[in-house]
Amino acid sequence: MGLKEENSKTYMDDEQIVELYWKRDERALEETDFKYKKYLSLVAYNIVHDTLDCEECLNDTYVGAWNAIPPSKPNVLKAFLTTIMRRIAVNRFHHNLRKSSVSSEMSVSLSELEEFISDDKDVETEIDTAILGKVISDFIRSLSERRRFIFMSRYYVATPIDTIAKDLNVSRSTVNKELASIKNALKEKLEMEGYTL
Amino acid sequence: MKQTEWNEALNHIDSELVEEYVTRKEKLTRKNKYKSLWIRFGAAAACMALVIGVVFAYNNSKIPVWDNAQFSASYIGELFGVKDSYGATSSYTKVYVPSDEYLYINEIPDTEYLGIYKGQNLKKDLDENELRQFSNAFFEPLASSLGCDVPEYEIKDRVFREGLSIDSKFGEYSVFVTQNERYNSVSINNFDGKRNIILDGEIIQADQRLSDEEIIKSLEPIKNKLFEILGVSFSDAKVERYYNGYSDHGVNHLGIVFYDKSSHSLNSLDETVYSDCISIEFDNFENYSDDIISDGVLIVSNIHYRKYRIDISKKYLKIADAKRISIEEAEKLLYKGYVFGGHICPICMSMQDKVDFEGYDYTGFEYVFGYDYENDCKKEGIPFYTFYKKIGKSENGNTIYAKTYVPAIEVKGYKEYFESQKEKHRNTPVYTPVYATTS
Repeated sequence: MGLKEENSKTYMDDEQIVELYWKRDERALEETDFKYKKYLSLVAYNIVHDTLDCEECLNDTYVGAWNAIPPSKPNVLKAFLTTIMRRIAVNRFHHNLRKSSVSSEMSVSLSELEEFISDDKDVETEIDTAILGKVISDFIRSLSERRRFIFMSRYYVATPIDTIAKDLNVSRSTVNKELASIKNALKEKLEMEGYTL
Repeated sequence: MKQTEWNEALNHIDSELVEEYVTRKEKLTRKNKYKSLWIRFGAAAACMALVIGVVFAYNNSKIPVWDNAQFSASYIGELFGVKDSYGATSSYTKVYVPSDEYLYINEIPDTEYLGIYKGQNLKKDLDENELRQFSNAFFEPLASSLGCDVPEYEIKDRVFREGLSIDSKFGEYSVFVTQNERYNSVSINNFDGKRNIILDGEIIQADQRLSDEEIIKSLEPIKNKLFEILGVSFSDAKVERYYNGYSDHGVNHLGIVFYDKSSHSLNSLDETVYSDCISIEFDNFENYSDDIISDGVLIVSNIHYRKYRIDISKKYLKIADAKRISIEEAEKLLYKGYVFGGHICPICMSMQDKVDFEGYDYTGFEYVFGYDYENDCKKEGIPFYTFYKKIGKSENGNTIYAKTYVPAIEVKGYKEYFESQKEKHRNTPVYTPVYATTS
């Protein structure tokens, strides 16, 4: 059975929710919303920093999930939804960025990488992002478990440093130090793989 | 690289990594949720204890005052990155070790004065010929040991930083030679397959269950091979084990460094190596909390050789001597909570269970350097006493120590600094996570 919620309504197991998607039962969306709305909103908010945008990203994520399952049969539904939400929220972030500056945790986390990531308007190169994604995956795998968590928290879902520190029960400075080491290693890796600014 | 490309590339990362992340995040959130209930009760009790403690301490132990000292507590705070922040009252760092011998505690020097060091911004112009000579000296023997030919290579400007590099593939191995204004170096990695390195048919490996001496001895043949390939010889060796610092996990990294201890006086006072050196670093990607014993032999390694172009003995110069304070004086500061323990925000500090360092288990000695971003070098290195107090056991049986720092030299302005920090803590709004409202 699922985990008991405080208000006594029970979360459905992910497997059951996925089954609903496969049956094309719209309760899949209700259950997804009930179980993951708060989490997904937080992911979106860290990236777009706007509640209206969050709401739209959330709806788009549900539509995305509805369209993707089937044929997909995610092992970890939350991760699957995170992937969709991130894609949508990041698109929204870049869309907003073209109009004006966006002050979100995503822009802060990107600015931390400014040594090797530039504003789009400053660079003319074209990179195969699928290959770069593989390089980044290899890099993340080479990190310790804790650093993997910090990397994913900060750069994948733009979690504030204070929150990461709280999650890991360490200080903000520790997270900053870890991020500095991760950045250096990442730079080396990208450099070795021939990625230029 | 563009921001959009970076973000798009992240959208392509392997789904297992996202799955691992969300699973761990859930686990941590649940753990912290239960913990926070205790913290609410604990905080009230801790506040009460603090009030009683402060009154008691005031009546029984006055902290030493050094008005003419060279450094202030506020400046020391800056070294730890806490200037204009929230200070570090009563804070500590957790250290996880399988047994006490792995605490790597430096001995306290038995001298009246201790050196203050300052990083010097030493540089030498880049020199392609020099880098070519550096590389040519070992490329042939290295290729022979790795069982391949020396590939064609070219010297390029480094991409993200000032310097030159040769990025070459020796068979399946990546041999990355670099030059910056301070040193030439080479990193040998195997990013393919099992990621291990085989020299002359022999796999480089280390059994982390062995003692440091045994590991160094077991790597003697590899050391000699590397000395021969690189045309160097170093008289000293040390093992560095990293226990993931703050987590329950076991060793996730083990390194052996071959170097010359005598090349800098800081080599015997600090963990960092100030010498030309070869390091072999082992990773254990499969090392979770319960496999520290079963997964003992580490075979995923990389080799790094660094040869300084500047005079490393002058990189950190002793700029002054400061009077060492006694352990008893440091203890008074420790018990008063005038310590630099690593935590800089009130949230993290409030999450920490209070540790009473009375009856601490070990004391040691370390240098801490700040970083001077303007001049791209380290600031003054200040000596510290380190205090360790055993606070429990982790799931995998590792012992958990609380570690905190007290300057080992006379420092002025303790009271002003720490009391003002405490005031900041009091005035800091209660932390509440920001959630999006989507109604």
